[in-house]
Amino acid sequence: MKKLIAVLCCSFLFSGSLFAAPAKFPSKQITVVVGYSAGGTSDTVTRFIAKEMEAELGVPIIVTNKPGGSSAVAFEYLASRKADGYTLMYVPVENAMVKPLGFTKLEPKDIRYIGRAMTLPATVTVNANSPFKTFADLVKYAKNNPGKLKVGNSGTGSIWHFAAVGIERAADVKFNHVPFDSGTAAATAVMGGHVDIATVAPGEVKAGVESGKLRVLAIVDNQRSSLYPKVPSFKDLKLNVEIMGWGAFAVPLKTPEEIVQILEAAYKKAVESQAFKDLCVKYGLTPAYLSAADAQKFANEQAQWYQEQIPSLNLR
Amino acid sequence: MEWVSAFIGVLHPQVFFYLIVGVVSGALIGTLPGLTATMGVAVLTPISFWLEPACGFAMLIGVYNAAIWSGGISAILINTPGTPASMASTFDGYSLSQKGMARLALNINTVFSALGGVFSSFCLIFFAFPLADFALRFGPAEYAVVAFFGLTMMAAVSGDKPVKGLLVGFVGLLISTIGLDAIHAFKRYTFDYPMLLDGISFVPVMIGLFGIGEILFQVYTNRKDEKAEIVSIEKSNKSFLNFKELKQVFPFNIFASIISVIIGVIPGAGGDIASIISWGQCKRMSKHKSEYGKGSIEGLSVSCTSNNAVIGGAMTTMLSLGIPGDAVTAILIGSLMMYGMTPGPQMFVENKPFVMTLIAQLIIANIVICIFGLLTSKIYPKILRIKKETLWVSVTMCCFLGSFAINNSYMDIIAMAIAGILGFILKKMDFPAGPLVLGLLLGRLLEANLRRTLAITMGSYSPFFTNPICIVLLSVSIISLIVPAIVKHIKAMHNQNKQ
Repeated sequence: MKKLIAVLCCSFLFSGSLFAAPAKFPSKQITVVVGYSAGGTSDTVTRFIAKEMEAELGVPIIVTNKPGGSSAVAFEYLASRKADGYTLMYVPVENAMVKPLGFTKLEPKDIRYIGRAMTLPATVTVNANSPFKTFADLVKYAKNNPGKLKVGNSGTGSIWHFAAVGIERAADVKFNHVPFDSGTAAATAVMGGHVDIATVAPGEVKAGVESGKLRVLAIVDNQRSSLYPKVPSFKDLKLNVEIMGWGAFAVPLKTPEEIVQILEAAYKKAVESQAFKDLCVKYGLTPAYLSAADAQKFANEQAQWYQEQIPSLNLR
Repeated sequence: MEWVSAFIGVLHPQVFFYLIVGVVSGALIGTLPGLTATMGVAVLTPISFWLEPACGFAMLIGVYNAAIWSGGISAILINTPGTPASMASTFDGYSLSQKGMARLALNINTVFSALGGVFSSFCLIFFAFPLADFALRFGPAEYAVVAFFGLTMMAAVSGDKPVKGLLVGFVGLLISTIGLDAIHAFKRYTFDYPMLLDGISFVPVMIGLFGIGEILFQVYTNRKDEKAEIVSIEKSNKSFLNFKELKQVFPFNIFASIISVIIGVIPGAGGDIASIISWGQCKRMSKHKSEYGKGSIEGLSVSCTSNNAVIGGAMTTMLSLGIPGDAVTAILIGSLMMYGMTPGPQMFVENKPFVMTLIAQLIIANIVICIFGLLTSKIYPKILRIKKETLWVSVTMCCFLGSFAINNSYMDIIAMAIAGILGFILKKMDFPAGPLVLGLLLGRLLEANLRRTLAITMGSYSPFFTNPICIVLLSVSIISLIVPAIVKHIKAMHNQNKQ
């Protein structure tokens, strides 16, 4: 009798698993990995989008920081995760740069993008006491004194280093590039008069501009910045530099199509919300949503471009 | 009048409640090795967004101050700094608790941490803008010289074994070269392993060297006759300094507070550097040099004062310039922005009441810490009465957890474990571990800024000899290196003549 009950119980247990419908995605907690420390712009943006997506998907989404190697550590971590849609990553522009920089062997086509949220331009920022009142003043001086202007960036091979190189090429001038540990550090050095220019993000110079210690001469973008509507963009100046930071989300490459679609829809809703747009205004970011397919194409093109450009910098 | 209302605002039950929540969780976070003040504030920041700005900030300020204070507790009791800023507290604090004066050491930590915190808050009230302008004068050349000055403290933290200390210090400098170099982004000793690109983190090495190293050493020297030691834990009933001792340590603490506020104001230099520099500098000036590192109340009080005095300095830079003064204030800037306030000079105009509330919170948080700390100082030493084996296992567990939690990286656990074994070997062979940590802490700062200076000047060393701050700091470093040697020589000559 006991045996019979046991057998019955067992079959009951199995029947449960046999007839259960395939689990609906998502059914458990989702993790988003950020390749930078807590507190920075990338981290803030990720936490914000995660919170919005949480409301959409109905499961908790937690954000984990795995800083290191311009987000290469987080990149390798994502690529090694199970492709079940429960691990996401905030992918910054550096994702397209880490392979040519030699930090990892992975490139954007090794992961699956679910959408792009925003872009962020570089600024051309000088000290408020600087003799340069306009971007033209600066170019004029630089042409007469090649290599004299000290330009602070956020590290050799970083996106703001590229921005400075792009400006050099567009305006046909030569700078002395000085790498700092972060964009904020470069902006601080301009405030103290230790370097002449910083080519860093609008948000990174915001405090300095508002306190009257810094002046933004131009925005390296096709449109003006929400933070400095009076400052001309490169398009206004008839210059063309297509170098900017951006932020997207991605999952491991082999994630099933239907899961990608669910995530893509939630992501789209999150970054197209008014709340996210308000956040962008506050941090000087440009909302620029791209769908999963477009974001993937965009990232692959970016990777291609940096692959060609980085060797020409002669970093080593 | 505005100040009165700011203080009353903080004492509002709701705000005060969150301040206490912050202090208690900060105390816990700070005591556990590896869980730093930065992490505590980062974890609680999203929670603070649910609250009113005043309540949310009361909590974050409570965590920040309490974690820096309570880092000293584990430094004193188990020789493992709870946060990097309390590294210098291990030098004297642990010796004191081994001499059976754990409670005295804990009370010194509490009272002087609070005093340092209050002192720096007053600096923030009265000198915010001059200090901020001073901070901006720190360019690459000045940073390089500060790092150099810090490295001259190697002699001080080496105790009476200067040669061994220097050797260990250079190992630290070498370790600091691992990872991408700061100027050309060249990969050094990374073996194509992305985890190594950012180099060896400082905190796991510190935890390993001091914490695991000490445990391994205790296990190694463990004898069956531990009964005797247990009795010695509460040998002394002394719970605080007497008037004469207070008079002796007071000038040093004022000095340490001033140094620390200045270091706190400089962006990127925090409590770890400040407490070592103050400790080393006070050791040089003290009449009781030989006691430093062996349980000197002067040394302990100085290191405790200075790590909390950094907070006011760091907050000054954050509030008046909008630039982070250290890692924690970097996160606080983010939260201020989420509340719709931009830190910077205009905040003193647009959100003046909130700035005052913040400063009032800083001061009240320190008072709360002082009371909380004195009330609990009787309980903490009981940890030492736990069976040794239990203590070893739990501290080891904390060390592993804490190392992983910093960057969610296994690399840090490996680094911590290797540092632990190294710490044991060093201790066994009677090498001081302090200089290694100092080298690791300052190596990158020195190298990056020296090379950055040269990049700016296109290879000229002139800023080091023309910038006023550089000249002053370089002279002080050189004098403090040479004078003791000369004094020693003269004394020796004098003694010879006598004979």
